[in-house]
Amino acid sequence: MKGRTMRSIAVLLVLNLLFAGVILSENGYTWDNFRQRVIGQGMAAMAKGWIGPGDGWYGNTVDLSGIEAGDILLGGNDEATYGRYTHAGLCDGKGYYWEVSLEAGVRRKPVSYFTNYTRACLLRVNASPEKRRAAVRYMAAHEGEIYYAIAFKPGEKVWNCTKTLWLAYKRAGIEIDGGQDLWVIPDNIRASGSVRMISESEGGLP
Amino acid sequence: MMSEMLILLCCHVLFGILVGLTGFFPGLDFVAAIGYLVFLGVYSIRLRERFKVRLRVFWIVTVAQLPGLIGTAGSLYAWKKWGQASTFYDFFLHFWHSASVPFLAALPVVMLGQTYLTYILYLILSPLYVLFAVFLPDLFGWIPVIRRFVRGSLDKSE
Repeated sequence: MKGRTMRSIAVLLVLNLLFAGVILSENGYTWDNFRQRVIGQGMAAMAKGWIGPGDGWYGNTVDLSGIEAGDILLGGNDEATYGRYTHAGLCDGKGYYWEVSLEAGVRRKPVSYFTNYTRACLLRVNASPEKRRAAVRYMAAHEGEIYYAIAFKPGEKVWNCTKTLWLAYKRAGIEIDGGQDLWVIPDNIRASGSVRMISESEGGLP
Repeated sequence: MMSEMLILLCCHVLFGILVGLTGFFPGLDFVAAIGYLVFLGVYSIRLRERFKVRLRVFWIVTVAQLPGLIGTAGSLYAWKKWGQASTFYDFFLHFWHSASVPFLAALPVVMLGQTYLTYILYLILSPLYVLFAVFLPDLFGWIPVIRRFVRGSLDKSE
């Protein structure tokens, strides 16, 4: 029983390594650029003990007065694994934003929630108002679908906070991922040439 | 008994990683998740064949699922104390049950009061795995084809 099972474990291990290798090479990972890519940066952050979406929640004063449908909100705390900004939401223009959360999947929340983060920014996608509204409709159509933190770009069954809004705009022909990496991280949306900054606030210890 | 516990634990983690990785190729993750259920089913029938007693199989699977059971307990405690929120335990459970994500994603969106069904399923998946492994041999272990398959694989490997 053990011999056969140990072989199964070895096969599983080889399959995992094989898939990991294929996925990394498909996304342009090489030995030279590994440290600059999302996984390399994440590993460096974890080595410092920065595991998860960060801590702090010191609040900020980001200006949320001029929000339009399809605007993107980013929020972040210090010492996160995957960048300065760690969460993203898509505004519906009516005081709420669409997000993906672990406990409720794709859902809507008041935009004021983003003022709790240590830093936040409001971005506007360079697209027609109709395309931006279409992105909001796309996200709303997936309400309740499940969150999976490491959801890869392909597929429309599992989501993380950035994949939903990236795909919502991708469907409209707009690329908002400035990093072209394995996952869309909020920092790469901020760095994208397809968005412009409307307001940004850096909070911190009083 | 210890080696069986470790094998189950290793396979749970490795299948979780495999399902997570195959998510890059939509559809293949579902196949990998079914593969895990088949593995768990066959392995639990083999365990029953070997140890005969249901309680022994229960302990083996319970220890193998201990991280998930601790995550469930922590998550329920946090839910009771602070309400439904994303805690460390929820994140842990979420990764621990990676092998089940394709099934959870295939379910329709159902609300039970103020809570999503998938959130509740994350909490009860570890106990469900234990029940699955303990009672599956009773449900299917007697079927001649399955019996022959499990016995055959036992004979080959022993």
